[in-house]
Amino acid sequence: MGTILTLAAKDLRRRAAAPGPVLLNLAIPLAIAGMLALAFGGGTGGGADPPPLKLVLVMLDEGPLSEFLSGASQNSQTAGRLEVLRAKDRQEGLARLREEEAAAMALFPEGFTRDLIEGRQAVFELVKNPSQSFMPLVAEQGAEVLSLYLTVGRRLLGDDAARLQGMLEGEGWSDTAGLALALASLYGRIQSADGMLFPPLIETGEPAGDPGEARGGFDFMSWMYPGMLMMGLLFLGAGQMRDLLMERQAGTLRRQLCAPVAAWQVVASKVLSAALVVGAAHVLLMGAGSAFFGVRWGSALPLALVSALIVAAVTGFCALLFALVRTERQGDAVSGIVIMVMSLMGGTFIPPQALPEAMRGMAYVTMNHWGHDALRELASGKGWAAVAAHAAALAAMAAAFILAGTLLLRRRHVRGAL
Amino acid sequence: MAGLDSSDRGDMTNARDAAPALQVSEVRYAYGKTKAVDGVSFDVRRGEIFGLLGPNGAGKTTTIALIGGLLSPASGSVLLFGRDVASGGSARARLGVVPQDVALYEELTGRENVRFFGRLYGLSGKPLDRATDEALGQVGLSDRARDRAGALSGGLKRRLNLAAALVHSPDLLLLDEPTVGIDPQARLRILDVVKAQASAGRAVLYTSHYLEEAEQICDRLAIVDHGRVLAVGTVAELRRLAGEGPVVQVRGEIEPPQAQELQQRVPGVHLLGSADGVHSFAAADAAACAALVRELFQGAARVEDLRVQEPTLQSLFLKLTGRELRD
Amino acid sequence: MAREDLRLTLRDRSSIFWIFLAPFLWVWFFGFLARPADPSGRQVSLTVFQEDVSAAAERMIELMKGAGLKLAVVPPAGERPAKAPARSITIPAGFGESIAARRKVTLPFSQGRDANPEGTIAVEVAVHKASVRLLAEEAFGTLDPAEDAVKLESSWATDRPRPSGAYQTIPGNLVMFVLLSAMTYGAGLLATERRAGILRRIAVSPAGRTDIVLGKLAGRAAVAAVQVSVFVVIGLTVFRIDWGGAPAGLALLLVCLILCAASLGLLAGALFTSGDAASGAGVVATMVMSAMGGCWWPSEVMPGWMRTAAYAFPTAWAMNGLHTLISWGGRTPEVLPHCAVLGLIALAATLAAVRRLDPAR
Repeated sequence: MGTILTLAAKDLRRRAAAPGPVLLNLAIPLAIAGMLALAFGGGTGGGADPPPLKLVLVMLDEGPLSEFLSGASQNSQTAGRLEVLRAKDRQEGLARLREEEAAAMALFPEGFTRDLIEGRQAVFELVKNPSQSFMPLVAEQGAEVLSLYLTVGRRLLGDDAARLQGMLEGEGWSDTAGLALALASLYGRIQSADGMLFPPLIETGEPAGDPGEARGGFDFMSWMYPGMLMMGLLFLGAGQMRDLLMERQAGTLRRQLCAPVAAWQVVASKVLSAALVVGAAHVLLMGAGSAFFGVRWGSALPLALVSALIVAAVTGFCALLFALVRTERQGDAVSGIVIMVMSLMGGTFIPPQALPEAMRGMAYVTMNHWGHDALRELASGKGWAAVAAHAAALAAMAAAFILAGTLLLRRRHVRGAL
Repeated sequence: MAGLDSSDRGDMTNARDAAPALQVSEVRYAYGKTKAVDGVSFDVRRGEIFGLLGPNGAGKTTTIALIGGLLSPASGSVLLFGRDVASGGSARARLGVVPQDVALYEELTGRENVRFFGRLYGLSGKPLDRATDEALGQVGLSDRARDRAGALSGGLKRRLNLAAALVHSPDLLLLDEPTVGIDPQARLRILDVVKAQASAGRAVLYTSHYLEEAEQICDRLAIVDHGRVLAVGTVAELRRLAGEGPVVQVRGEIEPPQAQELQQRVPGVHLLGSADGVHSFAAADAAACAALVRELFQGAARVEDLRVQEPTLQSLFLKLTGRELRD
Repeated sequence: MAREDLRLTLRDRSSIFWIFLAPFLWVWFFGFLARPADPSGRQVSLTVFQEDVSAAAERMIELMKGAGLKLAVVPPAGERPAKAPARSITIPAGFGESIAARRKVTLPFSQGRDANPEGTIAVEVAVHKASVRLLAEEAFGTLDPAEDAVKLESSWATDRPRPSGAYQTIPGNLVMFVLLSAMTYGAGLLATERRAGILRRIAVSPAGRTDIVLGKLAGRAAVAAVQVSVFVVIGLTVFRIDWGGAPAGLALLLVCLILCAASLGLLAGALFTSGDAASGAGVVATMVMSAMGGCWWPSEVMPGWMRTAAYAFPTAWAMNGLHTLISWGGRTPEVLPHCAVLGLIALAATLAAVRRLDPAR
């Protein structure tokens, strides 16, 4: 054991003397996670707040509705969610879209209010920016809701709309009895709508007793970061095991084997030092996840077990990977391919459920899936029961990989290939 | 195999009674179909510097790997102080290996490198500190011990490479071309350290393709080529083996059949070999040499270059292999 | 020098993977398998747990269907699916009675981890529209959507392809991987050559420093050009990408991108003395630039400051230029500003690399 510790300590001392590659391996998942957090928000509670919808408003209508709409776009409820830019005509509006200033242009044509009041179907236009894919659809959804509200509002005014418009425009009201009737009718309609529509009687909300999965309870970074962490650990582990081939090339491996050191001790020490570096990186990345992205990792004991198994499985997998390749270059190529495919299929970026059915099963054979899914479960507040299967799968993978990797590396030594 | 029986050697009286530090017997090893070591036998005694001399690819490094236990011989045996090297790590504990390439950790300091290899041989605590200081002092690196190995010059790296093999005071030191690619001063320093090791009673196996170097420090030498030992003996014995007569090398428009003809026509001349347009002849004495030169210049063949070498290890190598050591 | 660099890069299996195979793995994965949900293009699924059988509940379901959702209705006594659906809403028992009595009703809404935000917005809007319509009908009587007083006419400013699916992932990955290759393999190779003294050796040859830098630049540009060509051709043939109607503008923009990537790779290689450090820093820098520049996601989903800051990076200019050509159907003059900025970045990076690569340093 002393020899193994001596060999492993040497590797750790080397990492400490030249920490660049390890730090860069840590920086990559952090940089990706940082970008995701900046773009989509992250940290404590709730998903990301979408950025404000930028809309170019071309108001060719001069009726009272235009003032109402312009005012509504600036009230406190829409502040932060909607940013309205004015354009005097269609051409200017399109130019602003072209300059990427907005996601869409809403154009209210001349006579829009008049058509609405006079009972004709009033049409307004939404022109979406074709170089954007997400926000124009948000604009369209919003415009549809506006259209519905205007329809409901028109229904509220009923047949008295034209008369009320005349009064509002200062034409006066000669027929006092008619006015009283119209106001009474309007009052009746408002009364029937009040409590129904203002505000709407039906609303959506979180289901009771399911905070983790509930709407608004889903934390984007708590889902995304464990995937990044697993991928980062795999790349880091591959870099550590690659050191075995580097030592072969540098001749230090042969030198060690000329000493009273057995091949299995060299291999075991490399696995141990890789595991220690991966373990330290795991702790650092978890700390960074909490500090920068507000990820809460859940119960300590299940987390410790899952983390230990992840480190063992990652190290064993990388040992096996580098037992199967002959040169560093081969190792780099193969590890890059395998880790990326495992990450894509395992659900690092996208949940496996979003993949075609035929491919979903593949997630379960990847270590990434079991690792980041366990961390995600714990981060969502679940405990032992939720990660028992993950722990079992990771333990089985760790045992199989470490055994196969160590045996294969030793066999290669016996054959003189190491 | 040309050479002398070990019982004939009279200059190793101190070591004669002791068991050899290293006994290599009929060792064979092949990489696929290529025979790298083909029935090699020799022994190295305590206090002796034994040289393995041969060109690149002669099998020297493979022989070192077999002695170091990195490779297992297909047949034959390697005994370190009477114990088979394959028997386990304890036999290798008395061995110090200086590999041909500088095998050090560039990220670690010189001192850290030496200490690491010391630990691998079971040293720890104060004895390790002492041994590290001593090894670094022996190679003259005490003042650069805190520098990272990667920052040292080629010559200093070679010295550090040696220190890492000396730290545990091995009884047998294997040096695989330890002076390749370094300046003469650094080379002298390394050779001094090697000689000091032998003087302290340690056995040294030294491989090289530098004839002068081997002649200078080795007590005994084995000339190897194509995985075989061609001759073994002290430098004096090998010089005698090279014969009294010189070796004549001729370059010119001479076809191999013409060279064969010359050998038959001139008495006392033997064609050693022909390679790359150069024909090498061994002359029995000065008269045979003169006759050969006369015959060459009187004949129809055009001679572009002609060299006459006095008997040396180089000419012995030429005699044994038909080509120069630098080939 | 350029030929040698190209040869060295193509001999490395790892670089073959990262330069030619990984980009298409990405494109295939993110472009096909995980194409973003387009609420206007296809129906979003919603599971409705119907615990109320009143007329109002039935009408609510009918209206949600009419709002474009693909509904899976689980009746009160129906068996719940074994696996939680991506999105579900419950119409609770007593829904109809509550509406009639004008009591507030909450419809519990759940979404799983696999629910994408576009789909969720579509569901929320559809449910909201259905509930408003239902309430309006309760208040005023039937409200036939065909006779709505206000009609929305929605269209795109052009009929060009929009940046979703392959139209986002192909340009995004083209820009990202061209930069990634130059800033990892290109930079790593240069740093390794510097360390091994090969650069110094070339420097003492009759080739001048400018020749060396131009040679190295050409080497990286050659690799990038091969990569871009493969992207364009595979985009055309496999993904049927319409690259726009200005081939000259596209070619000019891509040439500027290639030069920019090559020069940044050169600069990264000049800044670091170790190949691994140069490659590692190249990966991190590329990730940041790609994310900011809109290679990973549509840039409009980022906060405003990020969109503004993104124009400090070549990725934003390249992506914007590609969108101008592809989605707006822009002509060559419209991408000249993008080309000019990319060219300036290339020039600045090359000059910095020349200064840094002084063999005397």
